[in-house]
Amino acid sequence: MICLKNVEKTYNGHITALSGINLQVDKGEFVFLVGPSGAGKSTLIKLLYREEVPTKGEVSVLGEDLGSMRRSRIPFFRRRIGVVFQDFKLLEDRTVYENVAFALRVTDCPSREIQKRVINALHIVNLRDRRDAYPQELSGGEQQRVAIARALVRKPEILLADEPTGNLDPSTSMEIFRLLERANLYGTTVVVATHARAFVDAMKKRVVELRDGRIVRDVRRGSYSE
Amino acid sequence: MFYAFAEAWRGLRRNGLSSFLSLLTTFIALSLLGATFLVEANLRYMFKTVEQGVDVQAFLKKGVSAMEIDQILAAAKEIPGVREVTYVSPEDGLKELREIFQDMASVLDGLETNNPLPPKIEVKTTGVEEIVSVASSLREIPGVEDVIYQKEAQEKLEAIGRALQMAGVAGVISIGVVSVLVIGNSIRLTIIARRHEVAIMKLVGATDGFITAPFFFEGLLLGFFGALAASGMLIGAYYWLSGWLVVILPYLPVVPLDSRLATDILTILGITGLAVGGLGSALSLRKYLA
Repeated sequence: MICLKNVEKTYNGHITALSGINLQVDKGEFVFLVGPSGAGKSTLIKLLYREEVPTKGEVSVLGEDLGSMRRSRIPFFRRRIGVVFQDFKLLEDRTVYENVAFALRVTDCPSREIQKRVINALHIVNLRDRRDAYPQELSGGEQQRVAIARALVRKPEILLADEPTGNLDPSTSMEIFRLLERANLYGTTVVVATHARAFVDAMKKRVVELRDGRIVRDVRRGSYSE
Repeated sequence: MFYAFAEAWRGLRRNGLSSFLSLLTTFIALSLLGATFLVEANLRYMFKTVEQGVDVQAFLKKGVSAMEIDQILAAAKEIPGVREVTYVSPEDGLKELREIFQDMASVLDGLETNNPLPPKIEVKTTGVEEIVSVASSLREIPGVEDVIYQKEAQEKLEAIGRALQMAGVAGVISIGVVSVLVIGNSIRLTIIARRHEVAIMKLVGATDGFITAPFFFEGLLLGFFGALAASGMLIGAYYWLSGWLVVILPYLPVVPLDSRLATDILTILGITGLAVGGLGSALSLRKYLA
């Protein structure tokens, strides 16, 4: 499902963000990417949804070689992936419902189908009652739940999350991790870059640790640190 | 498609001030274009009216008989491009001269008994372009001594017409370019203002076409509304101005404001507005996509 071979990513020719990365993630896995700030977690996530391309090596996701992918193909590839960020990336001038529906509108999904699926996604993240609220009227946790609903509404094969609880308190973070775990239970492969030590330790999932752009540890049912 | 239009409308309303300024600039540019069209249409109309009065004069041999005159008139009427033929006898010619020189009537005294003027025919053509061929055909009619026409005047009229046409084209092109740049800049500002939204669109898998369509339609709408406003203003102003000109300058030929002229204005400005809006958006979007 995700396969990185000898991947290297440098910026401006000399700043190395990732080096010698070899990683395989199978269908249905739940993987935590951990490590200090600047270790290369976000760069790795960006490579997986083709926001960045590797300087060297191969990145293959959902059977597609992202390094040689044509520009016109990128949107169709991204429709198979859901992405969640620390800063939520919601459209401020649209309601909760419209933000989630937006992910389906770009795919020319029929209106009736959009309504059904959005309501369902909002039900999963427990935000059906706030469907008409605007992002600024929501708490941080609620906003992140909208972002997760938007990521899940297309039933993605892979869900990527880059520091999804970075701006949230522990109890709200717990809700978010529960939602990610629930998506994983439904069959979605989940990759989460995080600093949330307590949750990584508690959830006992696969942990890949990055340090200075290299993978220094890859453990099944691991914890945040050795 | 409906979604793209709805988004374009939303964009126009959200960026109210920027949209208004673009609309205003487009309105001004298209009003100038429409005004150029109206001025040119009126000048053409004026030329046409003047052209219709341009005569070719054919002087006949002295002493031609009444029968010969009839034959010459009949032959002249047969020439293609001839609209009207009038016979002017030497006596009528003298009367014309007296009217022209009425303040100096004494100069013409005594000419009645020894009239030096030859009989002539005055020919009106269907248009300036027919004058030369009509003149040469008239020369071939037996009994015609000489033919004169106002070649210089005709050439001058044509030259003024050409210059006006060129000035009109140059004006329209330069105004068009300004409008394209203004709308293009407005769309560019809209794209910059909405870069956050565009980034999210890309993230959720929107194609370039899906992302750019609302911006493109926004440019089209700006062009269209600018054209609509300019057409309304011009038609109103022309209605008032042409009415006023008819009163103060009754002999000035003015193109009447009828449904055809109004349709022409709406069509020209509408198409130009859409083209300018579409082109401006397309240029900005091409830059953005690159």
